[in-house]
Amino acid sequence: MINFIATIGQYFLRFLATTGRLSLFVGETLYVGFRPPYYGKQFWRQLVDIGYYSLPVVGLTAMFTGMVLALQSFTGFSRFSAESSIPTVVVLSVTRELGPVLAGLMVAGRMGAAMAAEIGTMRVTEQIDALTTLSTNPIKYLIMPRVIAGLLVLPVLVLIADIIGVFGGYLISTYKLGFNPANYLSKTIEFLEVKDVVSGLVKASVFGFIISVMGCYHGYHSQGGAQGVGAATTNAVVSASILILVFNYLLTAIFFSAS
Amino acid sequence: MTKQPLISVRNLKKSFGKNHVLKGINLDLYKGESLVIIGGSGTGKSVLIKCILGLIEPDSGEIIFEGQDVLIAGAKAREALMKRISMLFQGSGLFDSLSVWENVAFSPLHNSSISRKDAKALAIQKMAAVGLNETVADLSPAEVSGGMKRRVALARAIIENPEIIFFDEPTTGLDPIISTVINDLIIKCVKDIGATGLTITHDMHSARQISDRIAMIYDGLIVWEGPTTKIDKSGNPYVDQFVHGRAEGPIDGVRA
Repeated sequence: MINFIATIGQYFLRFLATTGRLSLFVGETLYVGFRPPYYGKQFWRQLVDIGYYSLPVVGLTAMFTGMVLALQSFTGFSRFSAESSIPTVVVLSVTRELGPVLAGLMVAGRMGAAMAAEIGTMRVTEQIDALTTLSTNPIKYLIMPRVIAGLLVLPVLVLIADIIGVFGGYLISTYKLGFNPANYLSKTIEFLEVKDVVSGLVKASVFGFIISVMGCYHGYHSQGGAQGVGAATTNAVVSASILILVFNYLLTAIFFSAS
Repeated sequence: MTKQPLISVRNLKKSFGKNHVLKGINLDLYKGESLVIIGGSGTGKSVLIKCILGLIEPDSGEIIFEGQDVLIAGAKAREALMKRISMLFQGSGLFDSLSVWENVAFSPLHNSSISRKDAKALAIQKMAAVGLNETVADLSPAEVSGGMKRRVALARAIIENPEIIFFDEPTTGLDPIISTVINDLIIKCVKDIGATGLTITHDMHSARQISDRIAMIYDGLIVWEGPTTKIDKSGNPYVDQFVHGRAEGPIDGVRA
């Protein structure tokens, strides 16, 4: 029994230590990152890597999500003759929840892993030490461009995912389920509020921050060669995915609990 | 008048958990000399050099640079020290995402207002100094051999004519001929720019070739130091065993 409690205590202390280290990492990133010099080339490279190269996977995810949503809603709503609600259900689900969450999870799998692997490899091959000896702060050079790029580019990705997701629902509804195209579009816009889209974009920004911070943190602190880099990559994706789901709930509660 | 050391390490200690790696290192590095620290694997050579560079925070002790303890003086003093030191890493530490010339010119490109054209010209000039042809300038580090990587790293280390250069196992993993070439380049480059050199190695051939003075580290302490010419008559059992590569002696053959 005592061993069991001691094990729980150890895990709790480890959790607190990790939380503390992560907070210090974020604090240091924000403290040094906003001071010159700025590394514009690194920032642009990250914008392209996180944003442009994630477009196909995020677009495909959004397209099929919108299509499945329309199809599932139809099979459910037709039981009580509420098919006319499908455009509203699709657009609200995509903009409020599915767009940001699915884009976040896909980018976490794609870019969170890539960041952890790249920075982790740099750590174990002494490239980060080399940066320091070349009078270049690795937090400024490696971490800050990724964090800012993640923060800014995820909302753009999610906005595109929203449009593609709604389009996916439109395609299935008009070509397969027999909806009138003009009627579908007017219903889509009718109940959509600015808050629905903005809340999704704010979520996307928070998720972008989480993905890049977790990818960079785990990579930056990786140890022990290839195995350490592998563990850092796994930890980056798992922790970012869990945090995305947790923060999605918290942000939804903040945005929509009163409405 | 007593010669003042450029860098003085006093009673430096560093532990990782229960593993006490540095147990009170005392060492002086004088301007213009080439000091080599020898010692077996796992004796704390790399930890010592990384403590001086600020890559690892020591538990206690002093690192005095021009009369100022950089551990107490804080980030600015450390930055000032770093600007005057460069380092050649054991694994070269070249940036995969950059070309060879961008690696060599990394510091001027990022820490001064030099144009890319001028930076490339400077990089090619330094590459020539270490025997590298211009044709490798646009290759990626993954496309060049181990010996060439070491040369690229050396060119990067000397590009801003630093006052002090640290070499971490500069010949490890290289064949004997390339090792001698790298040693010759180290001597030439350090002399050409009038730098002070601190090298850590367990390669005695390399140590004899490039040093003016040798210090031996064992079990977290400096157990001997003296001129290179006296290494064979040190009278120190640790040095004798290490220099002659004997299995029998005070140095435990099975280390962490």
